[in-house]
This record gives sequence, structure tokens and C-alpha cells, in this order.
Amino acid sequence: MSRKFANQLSLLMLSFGLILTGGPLVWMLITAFTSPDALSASPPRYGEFSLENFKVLLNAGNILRWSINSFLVSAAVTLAQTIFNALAAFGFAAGRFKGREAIFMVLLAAMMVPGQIVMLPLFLFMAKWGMIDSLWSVILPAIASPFGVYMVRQYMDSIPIQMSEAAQIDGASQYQVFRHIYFPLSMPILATSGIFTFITQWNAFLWPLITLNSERYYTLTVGLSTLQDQQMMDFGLLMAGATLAAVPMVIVFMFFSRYMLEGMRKGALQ
Amino acid sequence: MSFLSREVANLKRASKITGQLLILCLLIIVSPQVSGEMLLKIWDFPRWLEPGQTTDRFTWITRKITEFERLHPGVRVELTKLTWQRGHEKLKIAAISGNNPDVAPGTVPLLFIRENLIEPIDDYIDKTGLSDYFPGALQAFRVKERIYGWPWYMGGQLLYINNDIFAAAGVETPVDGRWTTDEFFSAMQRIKDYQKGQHGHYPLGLYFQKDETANLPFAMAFGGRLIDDAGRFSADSEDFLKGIAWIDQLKENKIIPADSGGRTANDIWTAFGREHRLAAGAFGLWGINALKTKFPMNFQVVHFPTGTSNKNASFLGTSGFYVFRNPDKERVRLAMQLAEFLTSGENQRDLVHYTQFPTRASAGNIYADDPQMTAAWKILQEGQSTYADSRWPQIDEEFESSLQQALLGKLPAKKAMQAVCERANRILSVESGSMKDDINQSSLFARIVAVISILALIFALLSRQAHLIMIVPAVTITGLFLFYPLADALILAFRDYRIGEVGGYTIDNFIRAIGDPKFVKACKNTLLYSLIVVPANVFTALVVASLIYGMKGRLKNFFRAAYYLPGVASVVVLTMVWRWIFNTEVGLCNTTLRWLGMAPIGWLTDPDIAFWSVILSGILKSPGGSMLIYLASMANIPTSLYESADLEGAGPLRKWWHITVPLLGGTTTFLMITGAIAALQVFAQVLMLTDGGPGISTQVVVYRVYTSAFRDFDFGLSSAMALILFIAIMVITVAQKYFARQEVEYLA
Repeated sequence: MSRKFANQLSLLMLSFGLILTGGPLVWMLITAFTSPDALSASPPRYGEFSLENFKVLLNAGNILRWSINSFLVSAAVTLAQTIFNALAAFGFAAGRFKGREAIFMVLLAAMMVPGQIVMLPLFLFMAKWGMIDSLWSVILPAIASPFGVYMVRQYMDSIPIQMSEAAQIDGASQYQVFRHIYFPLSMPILATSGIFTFITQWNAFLWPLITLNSERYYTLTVGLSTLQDQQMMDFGLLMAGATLAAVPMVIVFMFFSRYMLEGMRKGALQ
Repeated sequence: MSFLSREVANLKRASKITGQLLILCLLIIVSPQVSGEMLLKIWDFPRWLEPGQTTDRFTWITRKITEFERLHPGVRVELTKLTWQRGHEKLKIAAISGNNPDVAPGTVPLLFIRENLIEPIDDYIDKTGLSDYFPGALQAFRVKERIYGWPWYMGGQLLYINNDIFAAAGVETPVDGRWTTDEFFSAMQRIKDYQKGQHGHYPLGLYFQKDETANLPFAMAFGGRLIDDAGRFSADSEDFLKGIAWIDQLKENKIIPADSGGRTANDIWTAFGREHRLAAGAFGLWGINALKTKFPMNFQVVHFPTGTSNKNASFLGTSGFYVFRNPDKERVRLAMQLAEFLTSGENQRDLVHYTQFPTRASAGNIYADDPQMTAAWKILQEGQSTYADSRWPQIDEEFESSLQQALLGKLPAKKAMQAVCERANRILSVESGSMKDDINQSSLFARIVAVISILALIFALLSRQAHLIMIVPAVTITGLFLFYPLADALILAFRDYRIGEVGGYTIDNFIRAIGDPKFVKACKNTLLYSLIVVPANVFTALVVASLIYGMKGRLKNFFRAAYYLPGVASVVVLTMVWRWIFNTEVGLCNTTLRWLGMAPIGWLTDPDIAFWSVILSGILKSPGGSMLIYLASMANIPTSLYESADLEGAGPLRKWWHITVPLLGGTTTFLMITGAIAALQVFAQVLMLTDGGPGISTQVVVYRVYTSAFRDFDFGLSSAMALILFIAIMVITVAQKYFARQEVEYLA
């Protein structure tokens, strides 16, 4: 088996695999951009280009509002999580207080709790405080991220302690050490975890589905699932909605792919 | 370092833009509220399409709301659009959690009335107003001498027949629209003969699903009833079983498709209304409108076939708007006015577009020149009222899925019906208690957790240690939103806590969970899913990563990105695409099969296949993350190993199998375990692809946890099932820790 042949074979296999895994998304795009008439014709004439589905979608649904909500939630969670995770990670990495590891272990234990088991009590808890059916009900629980703290701490542990000692000798407070040394130096890991948080939140489904009742608070995923229930058979419209939901994430991926790919690698090695 | 500072500058810019967008969105969201303005919330289901509309089924109510706002200055009405599939569920969740709208649609809301959430209309209507209603319509909303809603329209289910197919087959349509089961059977058989050779064509289509009573008259053709005179659920009576046996006979004779038990109303409607592949089908009154306008057809409505009993078994239902209680009397008064306005005699004339019957005499005979509606009215007059009980949804779900199972031949009909009757009668025998009051209490254990967290917080703040204070936000939030509810969940799992029954501590929940056929099926399915999907995904990732690793430059980057990309799309998006691909009638899979001249497959409608479709959609997921991890691990394999293999003349495949694969063992274990943890929590696919059906064939654990909590409001049972899942995940996590340690030893 020559080297060239092997290369071509693997190229062939990869292309074939891509058709299978990427196929559904391509099919989504084709359907979304086909005119509704061509879709309902029999046999359907796929690929007859038109933006009709998107026009109908933007006129009929609140999809713009849902996108804004999704963005609000994702951005707010990402921002809050990044700050809190960084602060906590710094506290664990640089602090020398009693019970540090014990608290950290308890925090790590929280990583094992699957979302479904706390879902119901959390719902009752939030109902009691009148937070159901508001974006707060989605944002607040998502801010807790033991895994994020864990990841950032691992990274901060590798920052030499001498740097902060030198700063302290120069009269810097702990907060200044955090703000001017640890925070900027941890940027790469904060960026990676931030991007993943953003994507996870953008794609979150089960919890928003339970807590959000009014259409104006729907996030995109919840909105789309209702759209699917409303327009059972109008697949052109549904695929247009799916396209609009997927596009922002593709953009995020294109801009930040380096951080994401790097971050995955780092995460794997730890 | 210069690289890093450029990175930092880039990220700063990115976060700045994000922040600005965030503020912009906030400004849009927080639109200023004019003070002194009353905001009324109304929820409604999709109604008819007004002329010129193609998708928006809310234009009528939107217009009426505007009219109402004009009549009542200072009042703003906000409409929330529900869906027929999940609207009832959403309304229940909202009402139980105190987030109810002011006005909501539907039949008499018995559950909410029991929870004392609904305001009777008696004080808001006078004698002349009352006398305008047809007595039956008011009766439908009456509970213990009070009327709990404004009746809007009356409707029911009918049997529709396609006159053209009947004529082409040379079959007479029944005189007066009446026929016996035998007459019906022979008519159907002659149509069957006529349809011979036409693929996917059948004389009749049936569907049995939650919230759909349209086809029950077939099962009740021999006098079977859902509730007998003693108030007992009696679907296991001889007469009822005879009806089921008759439907079975229809199936045996290929008058209905073999997978009828798994079909949905949508499937049947598409086949009957859009594609004219069925000669008959049962639908709500809305079908008359649809067949006149959107899907023109030469049709008529007829009686359901009757066996020994000569009574039409179709259901008659009354729907309207009801108003939730509120301490603000002015608000209630305005909500009442809104509900009355929407259901006024004048506005009921618009029901002509909805093909439903008005409830008020002052609406007049709006169907005088409509032969089909006149016929429908006559048929429905003989019908029976929809069974009204707040516990019905719970029974309904069990009943329909047992019926599906029986018709699919998964269970003997008699056994299935006896089991469901036993459960239903147990549900019916329980005296009701209020659940909402109890929600306001919190378990002791959870309160202790809360107190400890607060004490710790105070301690941290008092200690004046910067580091300790810095970890406070993350730890508090984790405590509040993870440990506190976890403590509560543990308590809930051991409490009898469901709608209509709020009791003490018990382990009954676990016994019920294990005895619940749906949960057992869910566990089996979840295991099956994990056992197939996880290894498949990991293997794909390994192969793809190996192939990509051998590539160079641009091509490598392209494939790496292209394989990762679908992974950033949400499960919801991908599942929507899969539902489109798997659609029985127009999906890609079946279109391709038909094109190849093969018989189409009921990807999501055949109970033996549906879960495999779910699995298939799981297998064909992007191998993104796992692939990247493999790529990273491969970079760590010393090249000297390959070089020495080269010297021995090993081919690429042998090198891969004997060097790459074994050395990646640790990564494989890691991916298998994290994959298994994720796979055990599969949910969105099932909810959106099949909704747990057909029958119970695609139940999975999280879906069952979700439905038992938020559809049946059986919080104790739901928590018990979640706890079982939690333990399973814990075991796997601990196993991971164990394997990881072994791995380290091996490397050392």
C-alpha cells in the first residue's frame, strides 16, 4: 500500500464521514433556503432558492426577541461566571486559609450532581421567590459552576507564587494581585471556559423549557421547540428557525475556534 | 509575552463588544412601563387562520385585544401564544407555581378549581346574560352550583369520508350518515379491494394519543364506556374489549395500517386531508373548515359506526375562557370583562371561521347555509359530554398508551385495560388535597443547609481574609442552587407529594418507580442507548482523529474544523432536522426509500423502530470534542515507537492497531465514561422526536423524570426516579476516578 494511496483513502473516508455528520446541517440549509411552494410540490423541488421561509419566520414569530433573550442569558451567565470563577479560583490557588482543600473538595463534589435531580426542588424554590417566568430563573442557577472554578484553579496553580509575593512586598493588596497578575495571566483559560459557557447557555433547553412561560421570555431553544409544535409540518419554516439558531454559534466558533481547540487540548491533558 | 498581550487585547475587545451588546439588549428588554397602566395577561391556543394569513393563528384574538384595549383606556393586554401539544402542561406549571395569567382558555379547569385558583363568573353576569347561553354550555362549566368560566364554543369529533374515493370504489355512502359496524366493515373492505396496489393507501386511519378522543368512538361502538354509572373507570368492560377486538379485526384485514397504534393525529390528517390516501378518518370539527379551504375535498361527515348500541359515541365538548383569582378586585373585574368580551354573542359569529358551534343564542344560526355543519350539529347532538374530572389527564395518558400497546399487539387487550382501570380507579378514589399551599413550605433538611451556608458566609465576611471573601460568591451560589435543592430532592424522594395527595414520609415512591412500566422501559432504553451510542461515538472519534492526524496543513485544519462544527449547534436544532429527515410522509429517508422503489418505514411511528431512530440520531452526532481530545493525546505518543515499527516493516493499519490504539487506552476510558454520563441523561431528542411514544417505546429516564414531575405533578415519584439516576451516575463517576488512578500507575 503506497503512501499516496493511503492518503487518498483516508481523504475518501473522511469525506464520507463528513457527509454523515455534517449532512443534517447541510440538509437544514437546503430546506431553509428552498421556497415553500417548491417544498410542498410533489415531488419537492429542493434547491429552488428563496428567502421566503426567513421572511415568514421573522414576521410570524418572536424569533428576534428570543435571540435577544438567549444572548442576554448567555452573555450575563458568561460574564458573571467568569468573574466569580476567577475570584474563587484565585482564592483557592493563592489563599492560605484553614479548610481550603476541604471547601474545594465539597465544591468538586457538586460536579457529580446531575442537573435533573435538582431541577424539581429548584423549580419549587424559585416559584416561592417569584422568579419563575423571568430571565433571572435561567441566569441565576447557571452562574454556579464548580467545574469552571476547578479548571481555572488548575491553571492558576501553575502561576509562580513568587510573582504575587514580589507584588505584595511592593505593597499590593490581595485584590491588586488578583487584578493585575492572576487575572490577566489566566486570560487564555478564562477565554476558553467563557466561550464554552456561552455556547452551553445558548444551547440550554430543559431548564428554560420548565421555567419560562411567557413567549417574551423564551430563549431561542424553547421558542424553536414551541415553533415546532405549532408548525408541525411546515419544515421550511422550522429549518429557517434552526438555521437562525445555529448561525450565531458558527460565528462564535469561527472567531474563537483557536481558543476552543486549544482549550479542549489543555482540558484533556489535565 | 507579546503573543499573550495581543491575546489579552483581542479578548478585551471581544468582551467590550459583548458588554455593549448586553446593555443594548437590556435597554430593549426593559421597555419603560407606564405607571397606572393595568397589564392583563391572557393565554390562548392557536385558532383559525384568517384570510391572507399563512401561519399566524392568533390574528383574531390579537385584533379583539386591540378592540378591548380601545374600549378600556389604561388597560394593556398581553397575549401568550400556547401550543396544543404543551399548552396545558405549561398552564399547569404556571398556575401551580403562582405565575398564572389572568385569563386562560380551555374546557372547565377542574384542577385549578380544586386548588381554589379560579374565580366563578356568577357575580359578574346577570340573568339576561345567563339566559342567552345554551343550557348545556353553562352546565359544562358548572361545578357545585357555581360557573367557572365563560363558554365560548362547542365542538366534537366526527367521522369524515372522502366522497370521491367512495364513488370511485363504487361504495355507497351511508343513508342519513348512519351505519352499523358490519355495514361499515364491508364498505371498508370494498374500498380496500379498490385500493389494491396503491402503496400507502388505506380505507381508514386511526390514532390514539393523549388529549385526542376522536377515535375512541370506534372502541366504544359496542356500548363500552369510559366511566360507568358508579363512577368507576370501566374500559375493561366486556363491551369496551369487544370494541378493541373489532379494531384489531380492522387491522387484521388491513383496513387500517398495521402500525395504527403508533400513529399521531398529524400523520393521519396528512394522509387523509392533504394526500387523499385514506377514504375515512376521524377528526375534530376543525376538519370541515380545513377541507373546505386549505385542502379542498369532496367530503361529508357521518356517524361513527355503531354495533349493538345504536347510540353515536362521539364526544361533545365545550370550551371557553376562565379567570384566575387575584387579590386585586379591579384586575379580576377587568379580566372578567375581557373574557366576556371575547365570548360575546357578536364575537361568537366569527366562530364560523373556526367551524365550531356558538354557545350563545344571540350569535344566531351562523351555519344556516352550511350543509356539513348542519349535519355535524345533528350528529353531535346525539353525542356524549367529554368526561370532566381534574384527574383525567393523568388517567388519559395511561389509558391512551395502554390502548396503543394493545393495538400494537405488545400486550393482550384485556390485561392492558384491566391494569389501566386498576390504576385509574386508584387515582379516582383518592380524595383531593391542595398542593399549592404545601409548595410554600420547605423541608427542614434544606433549611438547615441554608442556615449553615448563611453562617459560613457571615464567618467568611467577618474573618476579613481577602481570599476567603473571594471564594464566597462562587461557593454561596453553588450552595444555593446545587446543594440546597439537592437536599430538598433527597427529602422529596421520600415523601408522598403529588397532586391531590400531599402526605407524609414513605418509601412508596421507589416501589412505585420500580413497578412503573414506563420507568422500567425508560431504564432499558436508556441503557440500550448508552451501550450503543457511547462506544459508537468514541470509535468514530478515534477513527476520524487517526485519519486527520495523518493529514497535513490546510486539509488537516479543514477537516478538524468541519468535524467539530456541527457540535456547536444545539441538540434542539439538530433534533429538529432529524425530525424532518425521519418524517413518515415527506422526510428525506422515506422519500429516498420510495425513490428506490422500497416500502417506506415508520421511522418515528413504528414502535419497533422509533427508538432505533433516536439511537441513529445519537450515533450520527459530530465527534467534535472527543476527536480533539484524541488528537491531543496522539501528539503525545513518541514517534520513536512508529519508527521502530517501520523498521520491522509494519503497515499503517498494523501500526495503528498495535501502537496508536493501545496507547490511547486512557483517553478512550475517559471518553467512554464521560460519554456514558452524558448519554444516561438523554432527553431533548426524545421529547422533540417522539414525545416518548409511540406507546411507551421511546421513554428514557430523564424524560420520565420530567413528565412525572411536570405533566402528572407527582413530585415524589419524579424525585425518586431522579435519585436512582443520580446513583447510577455516581457509580460511573467513582469508577472513572478508579480507572484514572490505575492509568496513572500504569504510566508511572
